[in-house]
This record gives sequence, C-alpha cells and structure tokens, in this order.
Amino acid sequence: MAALTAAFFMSGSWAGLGAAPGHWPAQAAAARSSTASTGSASYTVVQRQLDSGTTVREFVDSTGVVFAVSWSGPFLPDLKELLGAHFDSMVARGRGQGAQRSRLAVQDSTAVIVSEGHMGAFEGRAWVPSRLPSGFDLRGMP
Amino acid sequence: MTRPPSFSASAGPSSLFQRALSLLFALAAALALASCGGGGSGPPAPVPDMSAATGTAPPASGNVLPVTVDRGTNGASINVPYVSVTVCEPGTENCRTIDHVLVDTASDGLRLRASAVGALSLPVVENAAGTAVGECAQFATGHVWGSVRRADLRLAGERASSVPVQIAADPAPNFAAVPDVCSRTGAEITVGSGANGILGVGMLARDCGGACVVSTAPGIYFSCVATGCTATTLPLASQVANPVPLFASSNNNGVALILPAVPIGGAPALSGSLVFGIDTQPNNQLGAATVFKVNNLGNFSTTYKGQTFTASFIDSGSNAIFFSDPSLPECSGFYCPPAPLTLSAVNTSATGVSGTVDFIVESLPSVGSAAAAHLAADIGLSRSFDWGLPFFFGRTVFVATVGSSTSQGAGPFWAY
Repeated sequence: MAALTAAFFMSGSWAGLGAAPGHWPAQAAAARSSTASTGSASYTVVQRQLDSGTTVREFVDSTGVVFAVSWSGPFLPDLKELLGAHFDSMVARGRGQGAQRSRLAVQDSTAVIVSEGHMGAFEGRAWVPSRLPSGFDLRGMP
Repeated sequence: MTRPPSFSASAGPSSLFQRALSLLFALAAALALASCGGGGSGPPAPVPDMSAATGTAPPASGNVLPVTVDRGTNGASINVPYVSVTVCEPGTENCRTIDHVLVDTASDGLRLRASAVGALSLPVVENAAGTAVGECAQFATGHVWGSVRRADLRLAGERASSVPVQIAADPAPNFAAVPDVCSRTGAEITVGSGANGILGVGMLARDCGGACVVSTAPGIYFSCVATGCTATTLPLASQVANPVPLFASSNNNGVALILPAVPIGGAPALSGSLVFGIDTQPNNQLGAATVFKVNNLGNFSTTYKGQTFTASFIDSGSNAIFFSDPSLPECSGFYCPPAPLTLSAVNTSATGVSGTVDFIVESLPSVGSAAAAHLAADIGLSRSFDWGLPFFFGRTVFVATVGSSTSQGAGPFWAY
C-alpha cells in the first residue's frame, strides 16, 4: 500500500515541495540542473530564472521528491507551483498576519516555509524536515 | 528576463531649479530635525523623549505630516505608525481625509481600502488599449489586489496631482475576481488589519518600474473587464506611484520619519513627524546623519553576533525588529527575554560605510497594552535583518529616493 501511494504521488499532477518537481512554462525557464551531495546523500538542484527576473530552485532527492525549494528576486514567483500542497499553509498564515507584510514563517505538519523581503526584493525558502538529506546545510541553501 | 525595479540611480537629476521655491516653506523650521537628535546610533535609552508620549500630534503644515503610533482602527495594533492623507477627485475640491494610513518605508505607492475612499469618484487608470487596470501588489506575506485609480493627494502642505493609487477591495465589477496569476503568489492581505491604507514612501518612484513597462512577466498589472483580468504592460506614468517624487514643491527627493524615544515598558501612544524632502528646508537637513547606500535590491548588510545578514532593510511597516538569534526565548510570536536586553549590531552600506546600532528587546507580556514598545522577533533562517519600527524610536531616519539629489549625493540611500 505504501508503494502504491508513493507511485500515485509521483505520477499524478501533484507537484511541488514534498512531491515531484513543479511544471514550469518552458519559455520562462532556462533550467540548469546540478548534482550536489551532502554526507552520503546526493541530490539534484534544478535552478530556473523566470522571465520576471526571479530565480527559483528545487532540491530533488534521489527518489525524485522535492525536499526543499527557494526563491529570490524582484517579483514573487508562482508559489503555488513551487510549494505544492504546502501553499495553503502559507496563504492561511499570510491572512492571519494583520499589518505585518515583510516576513512570514509557518510550519505545517510536514514543511517549514519562510518568506521575507520588501517590494523589489523578495526571497524565501521552504523545506520538508523529515526529507532533508543527512548533513544538508539549510543555512547554506541558495 | 525583464529589468527588475531599479534601486540603482538611473533617473535624471532632481529639479534643482525647484530649490528656489524652498524658502517658501521655511515656516516649518520650528520642527527642525536638529532638535530631535537625529543621526545618532548610540544606545536608544538615553535619547530624550521629544514628545509627551500621550500628547497629540502637531497640526499638519508645510512639509510636516503628523505621525501617530496608536492601537489602530482595530484597537489591537502595536508599533504601527499612522498618518492622515487627503484624497481628492482630480482637479476638484471633492476630497476626503482618510485616517490611520500606515507609513511604510519598505514599499512604494498609496494603497487605500475602498471602504475608506467611500463615495469619492476616482477615475480608473487604463492601459494602452483603453482597458481598466487592476493591480496585484506584492508583499512577502501575500498580495494586495485592487484597481488603479487617479487622485489628487494632499499630504500636509504638499500637493501631487492625478497620482495613480491602488484601491484595495474595489467593489467595481471589473475587479471582483482576483486573477489566478495573482492568487498564486500567496494570501490576499488587503491593506492589513488596523489600517485604512498604506502610504509607501520607500526608495522607488513607481511600485513596479521598467519591468512592467516592457513585460507582463512580473504579474503586477492586469487589464480588467467584467469577465476577468489578463496581465498587461503599463507605462511608468500609469503605475502606482510613491507620491513624494510627484510633489509640486521641491520637497520631493525623499522623506524623514521622526519618532520620539520609547521607555522600557512601552508607551500608550507616540507622536512623531513625516517630514518631506531632504536638505530642502531647515527642518530636513541631513546634517551629521550617516548615509547608508543600498545595493541593486535596495538592501544593505547587518552583522549580529558574528553572522552577517546580507538582505537587510529599514521598514517602518514591520512592527518589530526581525532577526534570527536561537539563543533568545520566544513567546507570543516575539522574543521574550526575562528582563530587557540591550543588543548590538553593525550595519554596513553597499559602499562599505558601517555603524553600530544598539537596540533594546523586551517581552510583549511586559509591555501590557502599549502602542509602542521595543519588540523583536525571529522568523528562523532569515537572510535579512529587518529594522522594524522600534529602530525609529528616538531617531530621525531619512529615505532618499532613487535618482534624487541631496547634499550627501544621489539616492537611493538610508541615513540616520
């Protein structure tokens, strides 16, 4: 049953953090993949510069699951695509923040999302703690 | 890719000839900054409190707009600076003064809650095709969706005509539905609870800039008809504007936000000033203030306990100083040290100028129902040191807009 669930998880339209890499428009994505490793685990970083000038990165483990994402640049990217099922957590937190608009941090049942910055310069990171490769340096994450 | 909003100085020099007008505004000298101890970066505690903490703000005049820090329209705000702005139908005397508009040094442009604008009839901005324009203004926590309309603005004695502003939650049918592209950036946050609007007086003249002139990729501006909205390009002159560079007077190269010092335990209210112009009047001289130039993203760096935060900024719209320090206890979403702490950090500008800032952190429970207090908070794994409103206590903080000219050179920069 676990294997079946995993197969469905990976092959369906579900994408983003905690699932398969997102679907980004080809014309907007000059994708660059690089392989990195930490401890004994290797993973792939898929980096795209969007037409808006903002860079998005997906950190993909050896099973094809995105265990972390990040964004930085002048405009917000499609965070629903990047955060996948965890986007709703960010929306719920954002609605509850009152007048505070320069930063947001939220932890749901499986992921942590941090968004910060100001008009013209945004950045953010999100990760699934239980899926981080051992030794992965969150602070050094681009 | 498109060009990002440019924090680099590419605009022409400011209108020097307008400085001749500056003598007309000398009446504001009584509120001279020099008397408010601007420019220092020493410990906040010894700075004299320039106002009775519960006093009323001085009346708006000349280039001085009174600022009040109170509990907001919802009675629950803390560390939020408010001003009143007068909004008029262009070319008429049909005006409305809207209170509790948040002063934000980290965004650009005026955004008003539609319900606060009421019955004023403000013409909608159209794109090149003649279609009504809506905006998805972006913030780190989400977006503000609404229409773009023109209004004449009166801020103290300053005037700006036919300024594109954003009307949040505009009930007009064309703007009823948030475009999908916009909703995919996060929550709809309107202008925030506790406020009737946001007055963005940051470093940019327009809230998107060149990128939105040539491309729809930023996802900021939309052409809207009754059946929905699609992304559109928009000329600079139609984009939502920081009103300051559009002032008819010479006080149009930036602002200074001045707040009194705040004692340990907090203050029930504060009265301060938003002074328009830099080095244009006796009351807005840079004097001995240190200038901190910013990088092409509008940021400088801050070093705290050996860690450097490279994306730092000064934000009157943040209600705490936000930085990461795992050694500090947290409660109620803020740091809550058992006794007030004095901490220290070093700001370094994009050109290598640095200065130490001492600041106080006390716990939210210890300040009761204060409207202003030395609060700080963590978000974890941050790249920025966000100098929120407590940074302004006891200081005069200047914000020079991109391309502006001052005695200390061209904007953009912070100075304090």
